[in-house]
Amino acid sequence: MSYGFEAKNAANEVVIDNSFPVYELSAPSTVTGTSFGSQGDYSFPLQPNGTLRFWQLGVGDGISRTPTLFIGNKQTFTVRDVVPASSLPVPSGYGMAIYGASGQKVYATNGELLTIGDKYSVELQANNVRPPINVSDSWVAIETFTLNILSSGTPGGGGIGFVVSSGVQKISSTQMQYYGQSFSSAPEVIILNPTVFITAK
Amino acid sequence: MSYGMQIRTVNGLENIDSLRSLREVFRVALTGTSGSVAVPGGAVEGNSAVFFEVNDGKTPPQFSWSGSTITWSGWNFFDPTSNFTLIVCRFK
Repeated sequence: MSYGFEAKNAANEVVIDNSFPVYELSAPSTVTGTSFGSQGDYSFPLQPNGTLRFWQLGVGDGISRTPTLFIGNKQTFTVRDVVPASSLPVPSGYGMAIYGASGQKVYATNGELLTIGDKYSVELQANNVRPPINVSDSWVAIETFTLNILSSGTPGGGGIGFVVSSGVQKISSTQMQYYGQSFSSAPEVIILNPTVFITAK
Repeated sequence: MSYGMQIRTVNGLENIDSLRSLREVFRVALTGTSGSVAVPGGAVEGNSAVFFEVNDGKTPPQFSWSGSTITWSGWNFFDPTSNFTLIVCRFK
């Protein structure tokens, strides 16, 4: 860089610069779901536009996406809704703020920086096997809904498929696996796509 | 700390040398049920996450990366959105 601000971590990855707004905590909160289906699950509305939602998963907790809502396996979750620093109020009094070339705020010390772990994917396999992956973080944000359809198990018998939500479940302190619940019917085909998510610390 | 820089995070003050942040490198409103767009800021599949904000209540698209270009299209069996915001965030 020839001018401006840049802070990198020990892996030479940019943490803060004067080009792009970092995500900071808007409001930690709990969300309470509405009973969904007959398997003891709960539905939650999507977060407001302009925010990303990270869900805290304890061992056993699972959260997933459909096109229009979240489905989880417990009624109350703690979440972190984060927003770009550019949408947070301008700090006053003391501290430091960094602005980009177009005048948008990209970082301010009055916010709390969200600290990211890494990006992962989990998959559902045709025989309903859900291979575990190694993840030790507890906060997850699912990228988006991906299509997974499982057969009803009556091949050639005019059965139907079940569309299952795209999600992740923490199965131990160091492992996660795919999590999803049936929320819609479909033609009897098998379609499998991984669920991609990022973690926060 | 004896040297370096600490910043305030959701977990309190932390040394920047061991942190990763999430930086929004691209936000664009898109229409149409399929298409492609070049993402700036050095974003590629391995260093970024993709999120969608759907504005018409329909289903977010499937997408794929090719270098720094994202291509999207609708899923089978679901009414695809044609009015959404694509958000790309780098985390490394």
